[in-house]
Amino acid sequence: MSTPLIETKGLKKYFTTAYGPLHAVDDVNLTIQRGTTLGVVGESGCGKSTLGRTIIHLLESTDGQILFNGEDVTHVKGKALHEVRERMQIIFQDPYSSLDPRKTILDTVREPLVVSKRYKKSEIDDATDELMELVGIDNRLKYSYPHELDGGRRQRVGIARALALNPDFVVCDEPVSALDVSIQAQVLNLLKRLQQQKQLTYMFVTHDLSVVRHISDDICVMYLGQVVELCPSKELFKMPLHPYTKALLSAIPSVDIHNPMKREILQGELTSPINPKPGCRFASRCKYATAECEKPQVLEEISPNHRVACCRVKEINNL
Amino acid sequence: MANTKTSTAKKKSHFRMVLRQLKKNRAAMIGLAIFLVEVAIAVFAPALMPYGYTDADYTALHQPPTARHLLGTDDMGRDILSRLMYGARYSLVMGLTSTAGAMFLGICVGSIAGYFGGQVDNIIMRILDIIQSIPGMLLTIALAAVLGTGVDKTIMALSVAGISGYARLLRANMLNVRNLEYIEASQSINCSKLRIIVSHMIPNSISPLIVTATMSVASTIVLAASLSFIGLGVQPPSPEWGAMLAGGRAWIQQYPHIVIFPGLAIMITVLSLNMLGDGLRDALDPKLKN
Amino acid sequence: MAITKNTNEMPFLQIKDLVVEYTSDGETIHAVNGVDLSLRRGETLGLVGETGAGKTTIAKSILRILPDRSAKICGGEIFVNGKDLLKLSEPEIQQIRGNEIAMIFQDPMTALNPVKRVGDQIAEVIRIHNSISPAEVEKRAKEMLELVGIPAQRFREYPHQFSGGMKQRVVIAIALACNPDLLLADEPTTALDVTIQAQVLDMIADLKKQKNSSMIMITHDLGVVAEVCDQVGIIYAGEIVEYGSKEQIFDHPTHPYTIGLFGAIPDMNEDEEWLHPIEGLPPDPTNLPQGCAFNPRCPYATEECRKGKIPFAETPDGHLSRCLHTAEVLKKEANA
Repeated sequence: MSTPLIETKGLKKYFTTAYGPLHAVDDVNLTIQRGTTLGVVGESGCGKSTLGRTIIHLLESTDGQILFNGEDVTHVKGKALHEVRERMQIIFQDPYSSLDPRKTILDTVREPLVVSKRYKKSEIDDATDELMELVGIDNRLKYSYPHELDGGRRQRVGIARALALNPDFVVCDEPVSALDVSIQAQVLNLLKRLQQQKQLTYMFVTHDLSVVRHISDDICVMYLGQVVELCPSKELFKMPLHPYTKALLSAIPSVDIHNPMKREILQGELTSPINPKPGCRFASRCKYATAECEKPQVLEEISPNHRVACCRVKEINNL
Repeated sequence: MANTKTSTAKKKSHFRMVLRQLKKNRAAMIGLAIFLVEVAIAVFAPALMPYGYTDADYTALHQPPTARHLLGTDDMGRDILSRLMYGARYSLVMGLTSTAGAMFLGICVGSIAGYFGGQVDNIIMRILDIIQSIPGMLLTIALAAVLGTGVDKTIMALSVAGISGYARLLRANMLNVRNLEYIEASQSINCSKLRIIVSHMIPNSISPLIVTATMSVASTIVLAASLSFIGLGVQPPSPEWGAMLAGGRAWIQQYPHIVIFPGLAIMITVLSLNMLGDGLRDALDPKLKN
Repeated sequence: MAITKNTNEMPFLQIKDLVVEYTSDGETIHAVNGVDLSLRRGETLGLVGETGAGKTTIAKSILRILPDRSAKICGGEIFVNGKDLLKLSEPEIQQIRGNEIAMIFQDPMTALNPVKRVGDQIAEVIRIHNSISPAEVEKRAKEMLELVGIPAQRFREYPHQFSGGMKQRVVIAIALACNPDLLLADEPTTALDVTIQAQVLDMIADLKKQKNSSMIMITHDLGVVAEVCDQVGIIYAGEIVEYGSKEQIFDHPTHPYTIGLFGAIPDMNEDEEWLHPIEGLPPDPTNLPQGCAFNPRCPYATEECRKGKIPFAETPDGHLSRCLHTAEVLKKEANA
């Protein structure tokens, strides 16, 4: 296999809190091949956004390695950090707070180009026009302010800003969850088209499972900072193996009114991510939990390309 | 609402747009007009004054307003109108520059504390705490005593004494802005710290400072007056408004006009600046456009 | 109007031709433009539509909690249990709010008062609407907490000590504390995670059944509608464009907007390269298009669609759709 574009080895990000270290991302090992999309799903507070931000160096990692194109970029500083950041960009969740309310659309889109100091003014002007066309913002809106645009258009501005420096890797942090369904579909199609045109690699962070199924090649399910299941997208929906994934999938309200999914309602309290015990973090809500689950869980390859972190996975699924 | 009335893709300079917004605000325009009149009076005071500001008319001490002295005379028989006109020079210059100075220094200090946070913030805020724990008047007196007398020294003393209020206000706003995603976005596109502070954070957190500043012009004028009263600010016989107010204090019962007119002058200035400041804040906010 | 079919039985809730406008900066925002609804006791009606379609405005009109200064109910009648709510005086409506009709707000983080104990917030509603002793009030409030699955020991805790899902359960406990006949749920699970959403939806359905309340479920999520609703109204630009039972709407969507909505959701069972968004944008509510508000985005639109308000037409399976081209739409859909 070729060198993956992104690889993390034992990546950790802890936040200091008054009550002890908060394990937002704990020992995450991932690879993302060039031109593919890795979907990261999980509930709020599971560390999925933190993972994305740590990989693109918006947050400093606590431990572990980040490889970009096979090169260790974990601790780059100064100019090298700037270069790494240019290659890795982010699209934010909230198109309302991710744009500076006092800057025109044009200023926002051109800022990355201006800041890089590599281009002449005329080049920047041409490049911005091109970007606006690429993401489908009408040129007559360029002197508008963010509040004058609807959510979908604002999100397009955010996409244009992220793509201005021609990155290889883009973290999409819930880019459509604040949008209405009809607009959401427009933006998802745009992201997919851009990926094909520019050979982009995405990490698509979301809690919306139908969206992630549509856009991802592989999916990684996170629970309280840890990856519990990692496999190709289709496989996950056909054959979820981890008890948490199963509960998650069963909880999605389906529009198919004649075949309602059998719901698994989770009971029990959420484990605190602050200084958690070494065992499986899902154990307190898991109906299969035994004493064995109090030991640390390892992400194991159960079938080709299908990794699960559960010591009882074979028993539960009769494998 | 979304996507309406934005069809003109013509670039307008930011300044012209702010001006156009301001023009729509009647209160702001009235404030601006009053203020400009005051400035004009200050500039052309020597030509407009009916009497010299030190000319004492010993035949007319403590006179209430008459045809000869439109606003009356003070305890030394000096024409109050003339003194107010000439005094506008001192009061306006001192009130405005020291407020501007305090605001500028406050922004510098506050933005550093607000952006960096942590230890830097802690140290700066504790120093500001110490400064604020000294009564403002006492601090100004101490500074003025060290720096000496004269308009320029007084302005310096007043500016330094006013820093902490602005710094605090800006810092508090910046702490909110700092967590918004567009600041993170500007980090991800490699904006320098200076650029993030100056181009993104300050414009989004400065509005309340503008309003506070217009209001504090008044207290600054009064504070400057107190300094002159104890002999540290502008030296007599310069007719500074606050000094006139302080000087007339003794006669407030018998001859109230001696304090009423300087007081009114200060009040009108403050009111006009307040109206202007409110309008300016709205005009600077693109969200309130249209 | 057309929506009430069984005229011999007075429905529990009936809204007739409701029109609500907002004014801001001299512009008039047409938020609700002639909505008719009816709901029988014990039933759940889902109101589905996008941001700004007027869903929340309808709910707030029923409770009469629209902002006085900017909003105006320009016309219409809202009957609950035979009373026209719009004709009641303020003290009379206060008796109804929280008692006969209660609302569950969207954001549990802001719907609770952060400096008041959770238990006291539940007790407050009970005290206002019942003349019973303080001890009795507390007992009832504790029962409500247990009912929504929170141990009564947590009665004296503050909202920040609760997780998001628990806060929303407290909000629901407050709404249900006085056994309301009508529950207005405004996106009650949008701010919650799916697994928590599943819990909360189950709980609402359960409690509703126990107390035989009626409910209006406002949401943009068709999946949620499929789970909990009996009747469905699809709202576009302040107007109900399609109205019928859940089965009718989900099995045979007829209005082009409804069809577009279903088409825009990524399918969980099929793989498709591209999604099918509805082209264009929702209309500007200060300047609605002439005729059918959906016509600029509609693939079936003709000159006629731009001519005036489109009446409801009955579809072959007996539900209602505001469209002049139903036959054509159905033919094309059948072929697709």
